[in-house]
Amino acid sequence: MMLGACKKSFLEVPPQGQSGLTIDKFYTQVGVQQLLVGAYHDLTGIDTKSTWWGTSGTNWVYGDITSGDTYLGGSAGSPPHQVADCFNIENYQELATTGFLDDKWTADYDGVARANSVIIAATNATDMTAAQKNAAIAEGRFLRGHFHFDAKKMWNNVPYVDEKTVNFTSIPNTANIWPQIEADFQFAYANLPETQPLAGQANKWAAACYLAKCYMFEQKYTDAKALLATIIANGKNWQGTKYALTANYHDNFDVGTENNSESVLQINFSVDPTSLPNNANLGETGVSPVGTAADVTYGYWKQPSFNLVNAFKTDVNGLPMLDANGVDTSNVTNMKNDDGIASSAPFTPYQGGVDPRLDWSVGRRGVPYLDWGLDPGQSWVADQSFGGPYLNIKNMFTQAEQGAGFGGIISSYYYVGNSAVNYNIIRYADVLLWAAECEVEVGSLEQARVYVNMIRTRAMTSPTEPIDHSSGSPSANYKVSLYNTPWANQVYARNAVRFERRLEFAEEGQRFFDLVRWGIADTYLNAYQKVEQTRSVGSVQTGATFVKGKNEYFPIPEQEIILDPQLKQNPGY
Amino acid sequence: MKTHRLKLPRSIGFMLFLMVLLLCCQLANAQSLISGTVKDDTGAPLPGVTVKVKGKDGSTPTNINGAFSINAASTDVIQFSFIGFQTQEILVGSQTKLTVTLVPDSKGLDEVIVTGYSKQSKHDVTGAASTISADVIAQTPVTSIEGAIQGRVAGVTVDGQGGPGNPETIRIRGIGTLGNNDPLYVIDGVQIRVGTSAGSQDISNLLNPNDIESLTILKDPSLIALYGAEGSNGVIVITTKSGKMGAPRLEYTGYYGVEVPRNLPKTITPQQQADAYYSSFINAGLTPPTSFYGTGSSAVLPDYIIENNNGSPNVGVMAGSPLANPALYNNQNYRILQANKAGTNWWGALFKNAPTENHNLSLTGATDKSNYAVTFGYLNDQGTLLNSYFERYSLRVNTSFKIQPWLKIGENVEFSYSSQNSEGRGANNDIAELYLISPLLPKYDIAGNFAGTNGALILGNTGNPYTDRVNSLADKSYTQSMVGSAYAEATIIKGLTYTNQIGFQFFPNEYHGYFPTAYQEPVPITSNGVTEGGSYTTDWRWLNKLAYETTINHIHNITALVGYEINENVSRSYGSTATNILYPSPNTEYLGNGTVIAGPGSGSGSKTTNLSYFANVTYSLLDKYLFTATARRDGTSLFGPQEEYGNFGAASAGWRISKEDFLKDVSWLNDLKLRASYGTAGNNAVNVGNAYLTLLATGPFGNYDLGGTNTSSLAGFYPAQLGNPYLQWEVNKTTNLGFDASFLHNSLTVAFSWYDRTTDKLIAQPPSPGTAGAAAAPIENIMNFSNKGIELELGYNSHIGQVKYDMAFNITTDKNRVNYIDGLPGAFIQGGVYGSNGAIYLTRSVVGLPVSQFYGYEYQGLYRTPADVSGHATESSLGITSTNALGNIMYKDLNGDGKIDANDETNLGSPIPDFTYGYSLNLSYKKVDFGLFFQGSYGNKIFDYAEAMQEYPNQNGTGVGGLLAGSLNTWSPSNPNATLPIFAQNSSVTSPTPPSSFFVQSGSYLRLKTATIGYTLPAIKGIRKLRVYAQAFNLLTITKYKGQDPEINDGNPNDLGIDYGTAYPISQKFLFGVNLGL
Repeated sequence: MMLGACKKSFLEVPPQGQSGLTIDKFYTQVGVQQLLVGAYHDLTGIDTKSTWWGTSGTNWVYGDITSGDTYLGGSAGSPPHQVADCFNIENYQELATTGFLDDKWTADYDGVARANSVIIAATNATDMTAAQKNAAIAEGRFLRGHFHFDAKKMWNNVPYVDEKTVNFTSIPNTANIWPQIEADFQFAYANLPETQPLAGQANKWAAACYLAKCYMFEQKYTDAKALLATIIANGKNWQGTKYALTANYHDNFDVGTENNSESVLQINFSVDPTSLPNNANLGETGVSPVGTAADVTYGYWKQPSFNLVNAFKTDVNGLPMLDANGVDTSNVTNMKNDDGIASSAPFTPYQGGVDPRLDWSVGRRGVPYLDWGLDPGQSWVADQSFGGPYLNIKNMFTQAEQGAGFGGIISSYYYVGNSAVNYNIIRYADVLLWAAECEVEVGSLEQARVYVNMIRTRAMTSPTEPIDHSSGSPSANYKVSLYNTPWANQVYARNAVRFERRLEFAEEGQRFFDLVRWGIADTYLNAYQKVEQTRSVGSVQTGATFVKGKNEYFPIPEQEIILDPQLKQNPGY
Repeated sequence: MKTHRLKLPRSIGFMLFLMVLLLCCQLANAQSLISGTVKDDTGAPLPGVTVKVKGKDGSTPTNINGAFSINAASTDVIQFSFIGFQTQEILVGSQTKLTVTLVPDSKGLDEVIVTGYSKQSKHDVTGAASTISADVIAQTPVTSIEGAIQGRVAGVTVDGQGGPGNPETIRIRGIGTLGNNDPLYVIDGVQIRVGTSAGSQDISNLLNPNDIESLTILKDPSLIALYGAEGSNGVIVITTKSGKMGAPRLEYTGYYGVEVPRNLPKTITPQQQADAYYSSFINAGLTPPTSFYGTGSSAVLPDYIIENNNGSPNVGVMAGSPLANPALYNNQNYRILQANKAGTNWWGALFKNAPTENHNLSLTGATDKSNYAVTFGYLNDQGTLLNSYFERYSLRVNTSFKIQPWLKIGENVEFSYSSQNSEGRGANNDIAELYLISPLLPKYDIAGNFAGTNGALILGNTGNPYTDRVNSLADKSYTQSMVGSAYAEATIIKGLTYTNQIGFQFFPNEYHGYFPTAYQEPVPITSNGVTEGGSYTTDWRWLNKLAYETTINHIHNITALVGYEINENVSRSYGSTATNILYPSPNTEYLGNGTVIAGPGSGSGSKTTNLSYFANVTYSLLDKYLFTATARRDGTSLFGPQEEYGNFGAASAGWRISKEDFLKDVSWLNDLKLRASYGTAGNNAVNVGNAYLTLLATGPFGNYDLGGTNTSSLAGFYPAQLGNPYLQWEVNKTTNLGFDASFLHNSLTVAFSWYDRTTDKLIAQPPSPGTAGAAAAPIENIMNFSNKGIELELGYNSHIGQVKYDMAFNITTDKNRVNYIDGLPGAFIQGGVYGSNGAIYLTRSVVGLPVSQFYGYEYQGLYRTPADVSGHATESSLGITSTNALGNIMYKDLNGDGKIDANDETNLGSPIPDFTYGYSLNLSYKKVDFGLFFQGSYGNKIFDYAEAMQEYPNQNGTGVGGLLAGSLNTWSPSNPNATLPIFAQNSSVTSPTPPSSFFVQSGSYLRLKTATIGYTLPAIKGIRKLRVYAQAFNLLTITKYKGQDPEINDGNPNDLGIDYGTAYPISQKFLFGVNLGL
């Protein structure tokens, strides 16, 4: 016994139990798949260190409330810590110490780490062919590209981490990492299959679309135009269905019709009792209307702004209210609303023409809020003086869906508002409107108009739901038409395309990043702030100013600079 | 017969001896046979007493009846010596029959130092060690051994933790590492994992302090090196009781007493809170919300609180409001509470006087062939916090048998069963909630259900701690432990002993909890449920030891020891929760009665193995020159294959200078020994699995609905813990110089040590960069720091007339310095995480300063005038602008760049005391004894960041907190000399308030730990001993610290000196006890 115990093996005890899963156990096809699922999970943004709102894969904190489209909402008495961070971000007062930013940084790079684990396991897998390995590595690199992209658009100066990185305390952020991000998507484009067995998986064309998105952010319009043309000609979704806009606009925001022909890459949320709450849209928990069966208390955040709602007004021709230079005039007067009017007081909704996408994006008084009934106005809003009279809709499940278990069924408090409604990271409408942008910049205005009209056609031909079920007639004066005449000039065309993008992607976490990549964030947002500060919407702070050259990007989290002194702070912070 | 046979050779020897003497020395004195008996102070015969003629060779032991006979001349002095008793000398004179009574020596047990693997005479020990005897432990009837150590021993600091059964913190010679600093315990030769390391147990669960015969604290490198990889934090060697030769003894010791909460915080009234809240809005230029305190210009307390309010925020209404119509009441979503305008005394509701009792019964005895000690103990410590308690039953059986003259076998085993419901420290524990909950909230709503805050900020946005405590009635954890060893000891040839010992530990642990439905909580519990689980740990250890002892030519004493030890520790844990328990009651709250099992349950395990070789040699020449050398080689599974073995060693030398001729005639000096030692020991306290690169996990953070089903997800795995196969042992290198001395007929004793303890390749888990993802950081060898200090122990005993007294004083200094941190210049280690998402670190370790310095801004006062604002560096990075600055804190612009930012943060003081000390005084007069014991700490700072939440009412711009008396003295134009900053609902100001010296206070204290008065009853026939006593604990505390209690360290070296306001308050205790011996 004594001699036996002396053997070296006595001291080599692999970790046991829950900590017994070392990565070498995953060097199999099944293991690679399991790591891949884990990496896809991080699309939700909910990792072990995350703080729901601050890390949400939907980016509503960074892309929406910063963009003039959305108020933080809520009320002055909302849960303190998280709101304080959102509040500062909404008002361009975020600091390097703002906790949300470090959480977001960690969430993006956790995604990178998980993607790298896929690449490592696939490289070492013992039961996979070279082709299978390549495909798995391509999927890992696709995800790695996504998470780096997400960080890049947040901070611009970010480090690049690949599967060989070991020392995380001395990685610089001074080099431009677009080439590495592009390389990951290029590899994925070249090596991913055209179809995938599971709806949430990225295929070859998803990689192509993401590569095009990179080009758009790099203003490489020529490269983008060519690639987008290829995608429009040949692109297919995960099932091999040719990319096409769905007939019904709302199908992109509905549990029953997700992963459709328009889907390029979605976050596949689920209301799943075994993985609660982290597989539902936890990052947007609390953005449902207050007082409904879908909510207990945290509802009422992420409220659409007056400015956004006004943008959906259409002129007599059913076109957006743009002047001869394509400048938005819709905000000269507010759309009639119930701000300050009790639910018990009578109110008739706005009777002017509106784009029907409004009522698939925004909850407003007197119009059906999906199938939850007519929006009663003030009583569904926590505090109109804080976040305005409007409600968010796009990530909300319907009452029928809730009944079927797709949302809001979870007994524990925080998760009551949880939603299985997917979020579109990229949908085909993006592709068309990027293509339109490219045509405006380096191609033909007429071709741009064609693409925009494709988007508007769908808006026109979509069912003008929601119907007021009590009367059976449309809820509002829906009036939308195509641009039937050529655009006068490039300036007008550019503005029209950008305006279309705003309407199409309202409340989808994109707007702020679009404003920044167009280079108009400072002028646009300061003009917006000037008006908002006269409205006394509580969540908009007097004195909030967007500083050019600074606020385009968020500050590198101080904690990260402390731990990696090679990281340089962004300008202005 | 036996006696007679023994006498004969003695006589012959004597005759021979006499002849030699006659021939050589021509001594005139006639020798005669002196006989007699030796008894102890109770009159029981003492066998085995060494009887010798002073100044001559040869001695004889007393027999089992205490009888002896020895030849001596009338001018001879006969010495009677026995371990544990004072040596007595008697001049023979004309006596031939002696009756000698030996007096127990309170220092007696100090004579032998038990190092775990061996025993050494204290005179021969060349390293620093301190011993606490059973007598001292008996003086302080503590529930756990930590209480017996606190303040008694130089070089050892103990931080008391309130709460029944909560483990206290023992630190030997300062903070040696950023990880586990718990000392190693060795009970009857078996190493036990207790404290915070993996698979460890709380010592109070497995050892009844009443069973301790002696407790030795090994501090010196020459002693701890023998424990190699686990010895670096010092070793506490415990020997449990064994029988004494003679008739069986039955002894009862016990006490009954009451614990009284001390220094509970005082809170403000609901009206004061409302007024402060109101003005906080006005101070920020905002209109106060109308939902609670009316619409007027000043706050009016509501009569009723509508809580939950059908999902809308809570409101306060006046009597007669239709909202307060009781018919609307609905426990799930419309609860009506009658506001308690007089203020609910939450502290009073949770804390009460509590009984505490302890009973021990022991039966001990020994013959020359066998030895036994059977002890039974019962402890019931009801905590001052509602429904908290610690209860322990213990049974110890120690026996040994001399089967053959050369073979001894024995065992020591303690079985104990304990159950506990207490409140440990945690961010949102019941204590923390007490600081937040509004006094306006009643205990119950109008229907008699518990009242809650439902997340309302005005009410504290906290769970109701009263509800939590009442509902915790069913929450218990149970630990059964079986700890012990069995051994055989064979004397192969004279002086050579082989020992084979099996040590074992078995700890099954279970917990059970029931949580009722609680809609009123901030996170409503919409279904009741039962949580159950447990763990077990088995640990076996096999020791083979060969020891040799010899004396050559009467002057060379040599001992040698070689040993081999292997160990395996396996643990497994599991847990599950069931909800929707039907008809809940104590007899139905079982998992099987739940209708929904929430989740798959938890379960995990660990296994570690260790393998060691060790050797030790001691050599003494003429009993004056002492040397030891120790070597140990340890292997452990905790490290990667390249690093699994470590070598440790030590050497020491001692010089008993008092034995030199030139000091022989110095009558006031009884003993003086100089000693020096150097050695290394290790620390292997790392997570199991760290030796493996990346550990993966699955579950809600990895699963994903990749298939787009909306209602299910696929199992996904993700990196959860990064490992480090190249991690090495953390090494402690210690140099120790000192002396032990006794003076004035041993009435004054002095022990002094100077030590330099350097921790190299320090094991720590530094914060992980977010760039590495969300996986837990790997453990690394990142640092080097040193602890240098002195330890002084003084003892004095004497008498004034019939008043006998003894006193002991000890003092320790420890200076810690960080010498090196891995990485770039200026690298540092952060600690003391504060805040919900861990964004704030309160401490920092930097090269050149003590470890875990408080870190933040320097407080420079408040902005009291506009001139202060315009004249001060901008604090815009904290959200403080020229328009909102008045009343806020001014921080010092250390680098003078005109703006306050991270570059102005600095070190704000050290949690490490300049010195700690203890003083005890015992007086006795005839049958009455009286004792006082003081203990204290000086020069340490406390970071009372809890104050930011508890007293300073502006955290997060929400108006929570600020309930303590004193919190009203906030700045306002009408109170320009306030001590606290403005209370304003200004959301753009960074919150919580950044760490600064504003929150740093002196943590020095002096505590009268115990005061005792006892009376020993006169001898009664049949009763050997009867003493009654009364004792008070924590009667007096002198401190400037404003928080609840200055003893705040919970053992985490990164959190040293930080008061999180979550500690279970330390109480006062008043006991009445009895010691009865038959």
